[in-house]
Amino acid sequence: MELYKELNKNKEYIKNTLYGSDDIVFKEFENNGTKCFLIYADNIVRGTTIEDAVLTNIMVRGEKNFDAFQMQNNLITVGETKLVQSFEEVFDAVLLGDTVLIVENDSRAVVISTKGWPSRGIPEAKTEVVVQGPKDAFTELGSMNTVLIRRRIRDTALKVRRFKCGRRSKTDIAVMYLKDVAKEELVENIISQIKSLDVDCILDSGYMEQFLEKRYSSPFPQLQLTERPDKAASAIYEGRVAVVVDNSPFVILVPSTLNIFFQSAEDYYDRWEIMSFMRVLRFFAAILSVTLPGLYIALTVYRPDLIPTSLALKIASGRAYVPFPAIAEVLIMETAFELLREAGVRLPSPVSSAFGIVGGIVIGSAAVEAGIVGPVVVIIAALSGICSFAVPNPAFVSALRLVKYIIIFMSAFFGLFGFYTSVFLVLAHLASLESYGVPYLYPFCGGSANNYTDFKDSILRVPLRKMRKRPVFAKAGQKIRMLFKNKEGSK
Amino acid sequence: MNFSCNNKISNNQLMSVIVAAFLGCTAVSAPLGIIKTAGGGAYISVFLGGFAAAVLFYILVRFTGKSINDTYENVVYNSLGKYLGFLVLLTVFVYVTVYGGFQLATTARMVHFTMEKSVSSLFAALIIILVAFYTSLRGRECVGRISEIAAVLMLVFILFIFLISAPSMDLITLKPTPDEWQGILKGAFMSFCSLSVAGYVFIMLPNGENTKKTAFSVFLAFLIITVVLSFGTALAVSCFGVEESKRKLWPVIQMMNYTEFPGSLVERQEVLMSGFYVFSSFILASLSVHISSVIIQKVFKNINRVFSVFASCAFVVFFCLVALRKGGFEAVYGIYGFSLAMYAVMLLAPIVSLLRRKK
Repeated sequence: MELYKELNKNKEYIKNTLYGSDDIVFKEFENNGTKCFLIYADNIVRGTTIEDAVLTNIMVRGEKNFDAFQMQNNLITVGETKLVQSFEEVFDAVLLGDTVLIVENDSRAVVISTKGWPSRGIPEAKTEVVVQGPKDAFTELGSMNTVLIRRRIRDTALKVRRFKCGRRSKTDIAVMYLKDVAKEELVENIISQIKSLDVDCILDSGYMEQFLEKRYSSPFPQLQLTERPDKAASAIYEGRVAVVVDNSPFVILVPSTLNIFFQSAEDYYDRWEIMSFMRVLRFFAAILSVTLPGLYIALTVYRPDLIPTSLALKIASGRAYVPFPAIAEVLIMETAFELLREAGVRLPSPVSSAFGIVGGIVIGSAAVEAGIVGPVVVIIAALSGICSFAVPNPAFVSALRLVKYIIIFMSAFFGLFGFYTSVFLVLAHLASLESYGVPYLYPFCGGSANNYTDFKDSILRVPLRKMRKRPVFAKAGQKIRMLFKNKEGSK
Repeated sequence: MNFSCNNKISNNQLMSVIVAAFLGCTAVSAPLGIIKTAGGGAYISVFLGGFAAAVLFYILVRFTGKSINDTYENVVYNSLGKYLGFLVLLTVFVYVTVYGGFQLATTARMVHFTMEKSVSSLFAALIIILVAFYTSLRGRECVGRISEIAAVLMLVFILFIFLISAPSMDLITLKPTPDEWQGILKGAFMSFCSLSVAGYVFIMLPNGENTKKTAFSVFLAFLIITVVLSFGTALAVSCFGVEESKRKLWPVIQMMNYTEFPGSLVERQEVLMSGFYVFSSFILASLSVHISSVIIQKVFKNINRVFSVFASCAFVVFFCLVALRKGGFEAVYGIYGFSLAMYAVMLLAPIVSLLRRKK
């Protein structure tokens, strides 16, 4: 709806619409006889900007019959201003933290950027902690997050496309990518997905992640969330796209493959030998965390003849006084571990680590002493839990936790055959997943698409000098990312 | 490469599919019959027959590649017309479901006897077909991707076993006697027949790819199977001796039990080895269901994808039941003639297509 020329009509309509919103401030004043009307939301604007750059200038330096355009250009000393003509734009601006100035006999309003959102500053990364490397993390302020990325990519090719999403929340979304590296169809696909969303609100990047995922029924994350600006910047350099959602300290990276969830930012800051070893360890840990409890059940219940005799006797003697079947034993310990983990998240951080250790030791040893579970099961559950923490991505770890139970139940019902079947089923599910056209199991599947070069950054991380080509995400003509001009460097 | 194209697989995936699907199945079903026929020189038979199959497939794929620039099922309809095309596709459908069903029965029996006594053969077959239903529903590329991983895992494991077992091989047992050569040649023919899976290979050909590379991938796949099988057969004969090998049901698999793994946490390795065989069977079942469902969809144009996959599963299970009643494992031998005949059936459409193009 267009603004009226009469100030009174505009005032009336705005006040009626915003009736009951006590945090909205309406200020009427005169500029040499010209009536003006100022609207802003309390506490989310920078008050000093309104006083110094708007009110003082208009009231002291203003001349008679100045219209909105003249005020915008001659009086208001704020860099970011614009003229709008509809009530919707006025309301959007006010609710976003901007100040709107309406002048008598003018059907335009001046939107003055006075955003002063409360912010907690740049925090340290908490879920992706590194020993070596930058410590800063994203905040809830979307604009700050784009700045943190731009600080690392000082390239004119870095594009930031802004959108609003959410019928009521009108959340700011920024899509960031390198224009000459990211594939156009990928960028357009993401943007069209965002534009097509018609939802009440986007409260966090977790919302957006779920809306952008094609196979939302899968427990495996198909997009990567990161709280580290260096990781987001690195992804953009590779030709991936970052989606920054306002009010969320996590940025979405698209597309994402299983391999990416095993990569940590630190992998590239330290020596390649040790980091390759860590990668192998992570993959091994992930496999162990998923399969160990199921394999224990399949072997002890159905095929004890496969276990070496001395070990089989040890397991049997440990279980001699246990009144439950192996599946119940495993489930008791796994549930206890899950509860400890869940409770640990809710506790204040100084207490939670102590609680986890004490709870684990106490419950484990008490359960063994009470004869509820065998000692081997405690080791299995603990090992499985510890292994899951070796994977750097929490969302992927959650999926592994779920999958573990499928394998446990299948092994309990059908023994080794159930174990193999469930493992194959998980593999089939992973093979069927894609993240914006890239197979989820890439580069282990379909690696030929980029001449197998992406294996250099998979189970092993080769020296940086050898990672000359960008991964498969980049445009076909933009594969080379480093060149060494001297002879020594090229070796 | 366009990843989003889910109706064709890459050359590498084709190679992996062949290795992953047929290595396990042939490792179980082929060596016993060949050892019975060729005796101590069975490994030579396996190699000769396998190599001949590999060369033949190389030639055929290069030849058919010239005329196939569309999916095979489309080429059949376009070149042979509605009725003859229908007959050809029907033959392929029957072959694939019969072969898939018989191999499924073999796997199910093996699961019951070797891996898990508490799981009946029929139940094992139903579980495998359910998994195949899920996999083939997800498309051709899904089967290709799983195969890429499964083939690598299988080959690494097999290589490991061979490296451990090779030093203890008794080479004297493996030396063929002059009167065995006739048997060796007969065995070679059996080996050739057991790898004659034209019905699978031609339908899975990645149309539009470089024919030379595709043919080489297929050749390499069969060569890998041949070398592994040949070495496995040699190990089994060397381990058990000729006469004992003939009495074993799955000599190559059972041979694993006598392999000493340094620092192994598991006794009776053949059960673990049969896990890889089960993986192979999952892939073959998925492949059979996928190919037959593709044919159903081609013949009955407006049919739902889920229904076509479901119907394919039903046919495979039916033939599996037939094989289980016959004894499962032995049933596979009966279709070798059918496998050979498939070469002629499968080549009909490409030949006609090529002739028409020349005109």
